[in-house]
Amino acid sequence: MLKWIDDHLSYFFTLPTIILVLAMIGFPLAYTLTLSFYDWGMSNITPMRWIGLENYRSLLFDERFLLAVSRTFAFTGLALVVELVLGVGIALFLSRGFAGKNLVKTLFLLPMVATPVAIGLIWTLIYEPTIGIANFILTKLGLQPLVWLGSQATALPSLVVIDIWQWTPMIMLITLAGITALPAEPFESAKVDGASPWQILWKITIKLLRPTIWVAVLLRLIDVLKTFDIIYSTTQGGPGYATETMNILSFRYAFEYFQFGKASASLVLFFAFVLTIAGIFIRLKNRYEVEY
Amino acid sequence: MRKARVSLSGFLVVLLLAGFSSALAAQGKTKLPYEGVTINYIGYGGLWTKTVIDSLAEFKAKTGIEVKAQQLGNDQISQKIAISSTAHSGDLDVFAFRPLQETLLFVKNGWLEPLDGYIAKSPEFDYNDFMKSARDGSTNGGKIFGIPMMTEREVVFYNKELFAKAGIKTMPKTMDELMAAAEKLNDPKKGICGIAIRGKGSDAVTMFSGFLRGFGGEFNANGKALINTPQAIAAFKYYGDLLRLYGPPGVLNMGWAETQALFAQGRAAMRIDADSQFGFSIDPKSSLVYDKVGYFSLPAGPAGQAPFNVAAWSLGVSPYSQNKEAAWEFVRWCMGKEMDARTQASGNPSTRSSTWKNLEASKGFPSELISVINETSAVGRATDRPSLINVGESRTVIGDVIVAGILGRDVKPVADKANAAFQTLLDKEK
Repeated sequence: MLKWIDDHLSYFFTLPTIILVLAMIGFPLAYTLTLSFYDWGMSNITPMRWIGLENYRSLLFDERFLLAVSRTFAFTGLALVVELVLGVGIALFLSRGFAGKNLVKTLFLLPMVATPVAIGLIWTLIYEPTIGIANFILTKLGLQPLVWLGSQATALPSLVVIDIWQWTPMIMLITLAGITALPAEPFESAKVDGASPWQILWKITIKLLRPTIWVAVLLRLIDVLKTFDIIYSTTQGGPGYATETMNILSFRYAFEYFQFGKASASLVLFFAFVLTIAGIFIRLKNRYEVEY
Repeated sequence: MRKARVSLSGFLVVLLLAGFSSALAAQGKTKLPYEGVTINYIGYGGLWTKTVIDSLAEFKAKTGIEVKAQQLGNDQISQKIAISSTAHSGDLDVFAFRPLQETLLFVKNGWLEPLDGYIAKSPEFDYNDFMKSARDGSTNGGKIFGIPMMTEREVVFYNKELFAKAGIKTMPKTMDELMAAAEKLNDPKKGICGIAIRGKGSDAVTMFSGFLRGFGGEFNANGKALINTPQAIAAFKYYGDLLRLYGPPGVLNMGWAETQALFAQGRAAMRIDADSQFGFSIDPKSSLVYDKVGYFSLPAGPAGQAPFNVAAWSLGVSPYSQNKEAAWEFVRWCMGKEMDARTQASGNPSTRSSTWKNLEASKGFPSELISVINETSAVGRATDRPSLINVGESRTVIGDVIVAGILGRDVKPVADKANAAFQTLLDKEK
């Protein structure tokens, strides 16, 4: 017996972790999946009713749900592209030594460590059409004031701005770490061969950084898709449905309309989307990865 | 290490002494009926809650019950109740709920303890002293599920200074006059809007009810959705025009808190919402216009005046509470005649008839508001939202049409679509 335990010791040591993962991730996932086949209004008296795929069917034919899906992707795409360009740009800039570099780096990191709900509330004030500082600045610059979160046309882009402000530093940080780890030789030989600074940037720095940037983009992608806090703390999906992403919609199904089956189905679909996109990304990454 | 050990033993000695001395102290007093019992309460942040929290020490001295009170937003309260009740959790004993929105749903889900037995044991509580319409809202199938905490009426708040500047001397009596006044008062260059009312779709539904009925419409009746009738469409158009033309920028994201802030900052000449919020605008600490606030009743539409007069909140007991007796003790105390007079004196419009007859208790209300309250009570409607189990989703559906009106879109097709969706919700509950 003792010998058997001794032989399989590695399992015993990992067991607590496995149990924890099953309890904290596996169970909720399985439970959500089960709920998605039922009609259940959280009632303690009326029992759950099995309805098969009805929740999925009604979602996939519901315009509101489909619009929420497209909004989720629009929000993600827009935020991701801008964050990527800005993040890598700032990282390249900061990688050159200059006085006060560390101070600037720290300042850039501040938005990332702030609480999202607090950020949401502060940006609501910034965007306030009558007394907010955003319009104050616009009018001082001689531009027309906007209603920001208050209009269906500008609400989603305004939220993208908040996300960019908060999360560009993360891409920057990862890229900066990548830059520090780059080998010096390719740069030296490029210089010897007479490459221009632009050529060095595009053909060497960016190319060598590609794996790092992929990782940053993948991490950020999953996070942007999941964005909930800043939307809920600012517009709660409004005006109308203008900022209702899949997460917000699922939340409303669950906690505003108490339709847990439908909310679960919507989350299962969302989970499938995220998984598929992440999968595609990882494949792309492997294909374009370069060795050096 | 040594140092740590010394300080630890010192700590233990202190602990022992403290236990000893409190045991001694306890011997000197007679034991209270609920000594050592703690109950949890969640409710909205309002004058009622503030007054009750300020008096909790008194309640503890009388009964021994410690009340842990938490104030949350309306939706967060519902979410907390839903989660705790579904989990059969004893962490919630007493809570405030919105009877018009939630009684049907909560009863159907088994989230409310019937109170009949407790009420029968407490004759001095005088349950029949509560206004009948208020009692009815928290009753289902002949059983009592909640004690109404406050009444609310839809009234117009106005800024006297801005009215004087605009030369408006008589208050608007009809919807047309209201529109004209809003136009006159609207001054976007100075950052002042003519009128501020909720524009956030589902939040706006309750305020919209007074307009809908003033134009002769109704949300639903006899199982039929009625939000695309000509009367309803006229009301959606009017509400939308009023807010698009003379409302505050960003009105589509505004609930009561946002319009209240605008009014208190002197940036809205008029504001329509529940009278129970009057305290905020006349408090010098929270309002820049505290000495300029006036009130008038909701103007009449083509079908007459139809503001709501509802019991907005009730106090309920969780069926999963581990201390139901203590929970009822708390309800009995804070909704009893003595505390009710005190909460009314602080500005909470009571649901007890006896409290309204108590002149001392009504002192906190501006006399101008009292006459508007009396006017409104005479014509008021007892509900301010559609009546069905799934009120939440129906409000979202109706809110769509309100938003379309504010955006200046063609209301008719949106209302037709919403009406069909609303009908589906109603049919599901048959």
